[in-house]
Amino acid sequence: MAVPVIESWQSAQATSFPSSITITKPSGVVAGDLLLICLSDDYNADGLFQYDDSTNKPSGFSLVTRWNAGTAPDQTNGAIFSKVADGGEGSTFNVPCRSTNHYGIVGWCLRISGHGETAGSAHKIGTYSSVSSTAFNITGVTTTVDDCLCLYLHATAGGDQAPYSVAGPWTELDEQSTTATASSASGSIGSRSLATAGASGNAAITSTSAPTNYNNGIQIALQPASGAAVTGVNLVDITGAAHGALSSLKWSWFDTQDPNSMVAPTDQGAAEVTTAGGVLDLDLPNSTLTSGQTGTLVLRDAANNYIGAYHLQVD
Amino acid sequence: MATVTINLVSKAGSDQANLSAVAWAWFDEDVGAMNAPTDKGAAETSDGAGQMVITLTGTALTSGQTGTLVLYDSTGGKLGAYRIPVD
Repeated sequence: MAVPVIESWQSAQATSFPSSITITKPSGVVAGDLLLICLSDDYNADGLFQYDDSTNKPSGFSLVTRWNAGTAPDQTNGAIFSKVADGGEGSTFNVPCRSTNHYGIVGWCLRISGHGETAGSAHKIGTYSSVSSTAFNITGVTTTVDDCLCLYLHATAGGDQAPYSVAGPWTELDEQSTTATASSASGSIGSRSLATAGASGNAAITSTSAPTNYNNGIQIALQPASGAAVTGVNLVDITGAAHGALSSLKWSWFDTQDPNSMVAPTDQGAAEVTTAGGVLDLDLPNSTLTSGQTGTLVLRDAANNYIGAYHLQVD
Repeated sequence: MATVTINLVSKAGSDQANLSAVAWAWFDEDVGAMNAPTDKGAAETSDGAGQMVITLTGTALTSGQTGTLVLYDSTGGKLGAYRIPVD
């Protein structure tokens, strides 16, 4: 298996007591991708949730988790929604909220490949943390399967605390603030991979400025696609030199080493890419091979006129 | 009945002469869009100049159309894939 990958993402802000937020669809969405919408806002009044799984949600998505914390007028709502893409999504996603009585909303939409989730699911959903401190921890989760992608959503009722940072092995993906004042929505998102099942650890976030409002956040863990994978395949040329970044690779995978035993490929594609160093990772959700068993990868880069076959062990 | 002809050379460019018991599979499609092979075998040979001629009885391709050949010489540990036209 391989850790799910954040392939692309978009952010958005809604200001001046908005009734909704609209986020552009990330690039490259194909059927089967997990689309994750993460929201944070600065709510100005009572303790009711701004988002739900019936009305105040993006159409076609399901609620993964939500929370509200703090005391009006500095309450913060956080919410995460997901759907498995069908490839026919429009160019934007609109999320209405319960009330306009808030200073703003910040949000993200992430496109994640190689996942094993369904709409609204997550392998693990943590408990939200809420602390009035410059440094605070978003409590970790404990996964029970290998190769999870762990994410945190951080929210605070005030952009005067930004910018933020997070301690390793977590990496911040992005942060947004509607304004740099206490009366604004602000937050950040980040991730880490967790190759071996166990504790993700706290996401230790630091605000640059002394907080006037609470920091809040939650972690979730997304499990990998079932089935096999081959990862870390170093593609080199005939001299042994790394190919470097390749794109639009065509590939077919067979669960046998012997061409005379080949039937139709279990998995194949026509748009694979490598890392900048020419390293290839492939998910093989339909392969029946188990860890250490060997199959055959046929790979073609039509643009550069490369073709090759490789016996590879699945991870 | 169709054939494909391939001249096998090593990485250094030398002929791969007199190979035997080479396993192979032929696909009428390009990589990434393959169906089951139309033809396959376990005992193909190359001649003294490294040339291999493979008979294809199941292919739907006609002369000049290109398919994909996968070869494996288990004795020499050589594996390759080729896009080549039908003779």
